[in-house]
Amino acid sequence: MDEFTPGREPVTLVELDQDFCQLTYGGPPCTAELGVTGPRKCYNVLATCQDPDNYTLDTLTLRFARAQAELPWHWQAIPSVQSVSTNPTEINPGGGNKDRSPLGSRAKVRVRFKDHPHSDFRVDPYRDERDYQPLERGTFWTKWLARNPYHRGRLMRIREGYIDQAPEDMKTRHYVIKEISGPDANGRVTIKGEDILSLTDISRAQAPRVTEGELASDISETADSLTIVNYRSSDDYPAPSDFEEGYGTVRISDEVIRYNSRSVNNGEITLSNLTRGADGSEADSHDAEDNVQLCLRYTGKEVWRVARDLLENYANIPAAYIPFTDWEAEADTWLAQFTVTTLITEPEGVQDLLGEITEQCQFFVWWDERDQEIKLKALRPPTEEPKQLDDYRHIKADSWARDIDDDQRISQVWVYYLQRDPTESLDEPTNYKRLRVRIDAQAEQPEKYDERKVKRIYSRWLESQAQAINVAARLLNRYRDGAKYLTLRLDAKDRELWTGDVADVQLWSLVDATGAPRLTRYQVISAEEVQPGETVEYDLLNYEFDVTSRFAYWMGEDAPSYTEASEEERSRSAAFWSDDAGQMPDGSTGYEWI
Amino acid sequence: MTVILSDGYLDNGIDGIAPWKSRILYDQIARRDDATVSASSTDSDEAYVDAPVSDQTWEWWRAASQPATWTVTTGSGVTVSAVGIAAHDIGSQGATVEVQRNGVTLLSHTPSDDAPIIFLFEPVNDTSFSIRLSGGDAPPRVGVCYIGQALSMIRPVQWSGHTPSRFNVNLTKRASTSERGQRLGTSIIREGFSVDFNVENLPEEWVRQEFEPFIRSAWRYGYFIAWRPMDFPEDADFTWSDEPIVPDNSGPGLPPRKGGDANGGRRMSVSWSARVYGGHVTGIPPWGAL
Repeated sequence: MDEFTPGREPVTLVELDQDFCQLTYGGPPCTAELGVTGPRKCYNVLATCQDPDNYTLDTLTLRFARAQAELPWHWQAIPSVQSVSTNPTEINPGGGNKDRSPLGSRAKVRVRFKDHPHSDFRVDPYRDERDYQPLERGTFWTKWLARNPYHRGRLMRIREGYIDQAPEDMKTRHYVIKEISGPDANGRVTIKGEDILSLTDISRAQAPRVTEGELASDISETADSLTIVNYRSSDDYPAPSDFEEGYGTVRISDEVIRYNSRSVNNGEITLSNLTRGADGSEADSHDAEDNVQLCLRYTGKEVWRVARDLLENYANIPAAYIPFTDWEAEADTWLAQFTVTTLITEPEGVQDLLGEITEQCQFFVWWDERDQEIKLKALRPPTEEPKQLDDYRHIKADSWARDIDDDQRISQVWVYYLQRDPTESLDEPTNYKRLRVRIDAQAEQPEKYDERKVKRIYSRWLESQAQAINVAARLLNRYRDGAKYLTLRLDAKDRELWTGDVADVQLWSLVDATGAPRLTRYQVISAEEVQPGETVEYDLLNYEFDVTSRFAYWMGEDAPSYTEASEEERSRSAAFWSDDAGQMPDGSTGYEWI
Repeated sequence: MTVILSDGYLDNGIDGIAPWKSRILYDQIARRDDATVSASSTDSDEAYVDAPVSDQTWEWWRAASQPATWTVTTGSGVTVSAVGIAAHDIGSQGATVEVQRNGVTLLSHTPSDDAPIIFLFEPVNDTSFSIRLSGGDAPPRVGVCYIGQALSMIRPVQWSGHTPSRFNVNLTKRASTSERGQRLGTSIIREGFSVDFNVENLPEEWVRQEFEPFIRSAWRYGYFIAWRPMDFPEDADFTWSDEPIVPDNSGPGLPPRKGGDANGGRRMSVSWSARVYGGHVTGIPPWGAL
């Protein structure tokens, strides 16, 4: 049974991965002993462990389902799920939606369970040895929560499929547990999960990390060394050789100081061979006990490597969630020009920093709940054949709506770049050396929108005029006419379409000036199975690389002529000069630069 | 859904009540304080031995090897006239199930499906009752097994207006069509079955003595029911009631008359609804410690 089976029977499975010790009570190396280390055996979880030094972490997966008939035995699912509701990941390509972070919004899930008596089978390896009947003591969730207080951040999955379908073949979305509440007076328990990128929230992840060291004594504005005390770890102030630039950077008050030497002695760290008033700041004297904050510097670094560094090293997101080979393949082709240089002198939210670079370097990252990885995609023409959607075979009746967000329309993009003083305000125009302005004068004419709408970008990352021009042009191209949204629902048979994908849509209300149907290209900015296994709701945003456009690519020396080229070469991997009238030899439209 | 009847039951019924009248199995000797549950073996990867007593349809006992025996032993003799088995896959495994008293087979059955089975037989008194499973592809799973005395309804379930559970499926069906009217897909969600019972003209004294223990048991536990075991042996259900079963007085309420009906005009009627187990896992039963 699958999406295409008439009378398909949708099922929703919820899986939790709880911590579970892989040892047996009292079995080496576990030294627990009944009556000595505790009055009863543990439950193979840390909270009840009697030999924490030898606690050996493993995972126990618990599976739950909605209560319905004919769930297969081998699923071994507890049928206590009452409801599953989700808020999908929403991407914000180019940061065009001012109401959203440039990083978009995080996927969330909320699962409600009905609590119930439980035999403790599977969750208590020693249930047969207990001196009580588990079914008559507590409930599943009261016992589970008492034994598993450390559940935050553990993985959970929502599998949506059909009876007779193997769980691993179902559409599966991955989350981490944020909190578990309940049971309430009605025996309801709620688990809230969120996507892994929530670890980048400012409350959880900052870059650079805060450093608490203080000046041991007053220093003058010309001092060539300084001594730090009351730090947490000597690793807080790494040696110069640990930095790609060969020197470290700290901030004291409003002064940035570079150091080329570091020594650690008797609980004191001495930074010496200093460059005072570095990076556009002013040298100043400082007092004992002033905070010494380590700075984060990137110099000419590929922006996708910066994104990975922020995610892995500052948000502590496991590398397994970052398919960096895929990132590189995408970035090498589409983001090669975006090397960035910046100095961040005080702790800032990783999410904010990621938002800045995704907006200013024209890419986006998002948590793909289905593939359980953080994807990266440049704002670029589709290289895959877009999914074709029409109102005959795909779009569900009465399920769609179109909307235009005029607030997102822009006619000018001002890009400020090359920051003067990284200790000063980020959105102060005078704090930048360069400004690049791109104006769509036609759009501002009285016959058209008759309005000037400016988007300002203050970039501490961009380092060249070419980058600034590119960002301005792309943003203006995409939001020249505002953001055009389309919301629609598809039957589950079409649910392969997912966030970040591009689709060409034919709908009776999308027509050209003659009233003829006009195929319109959109990008999926969010997708949600509103009726699991039955109906998927999509939010789509107009895509700047339109259906009718052809985009130019540089070719190799052995490239064929237009007439000799294959259709694939003509459409996706090549470009050819048009004639003076912008026409190709076969009369088709010429190519565009991107 | 199958009712297996012994010859003696067919000849005489139980408790002198005609064999075609409804039987309810709510009694469970395994819940007695002096009862112990054991098995010839248990596949501990997915099963535990006392699962069939837990009243939960989503956990089960399964032997590690065949033939397999699951036994309830009591400290003193108990009377048993019925065995109910639900949430099993004996039919799927092609196995045979036998009801045994102290190792002696009373009845056996090789089901063709995994529907609930109710064995009804003349009451026997003993300290050990078992189900024995043999044959088939692999050891079957048994989620619910009741062993006890069946309640024989002194009056039949009203024929008129009764919908056998097999026809009363709780099914949600949703079909979707495209904007231009094409049929896109159809989904169904089955949540088991339900059934309503109506029994009238019950002697008030019988209700208090025989039926009330069942009412109280149904507050917490499930029960097997065969509404017409002889006429419709295929209508054997494992059910539970979300709401308490509440009988009403009926009739004129006159006191018993000498030489007449012992209950006189004191009659009671009872109607109740039940959710019917409709295949492996239909829900968290409403009873238990909550």
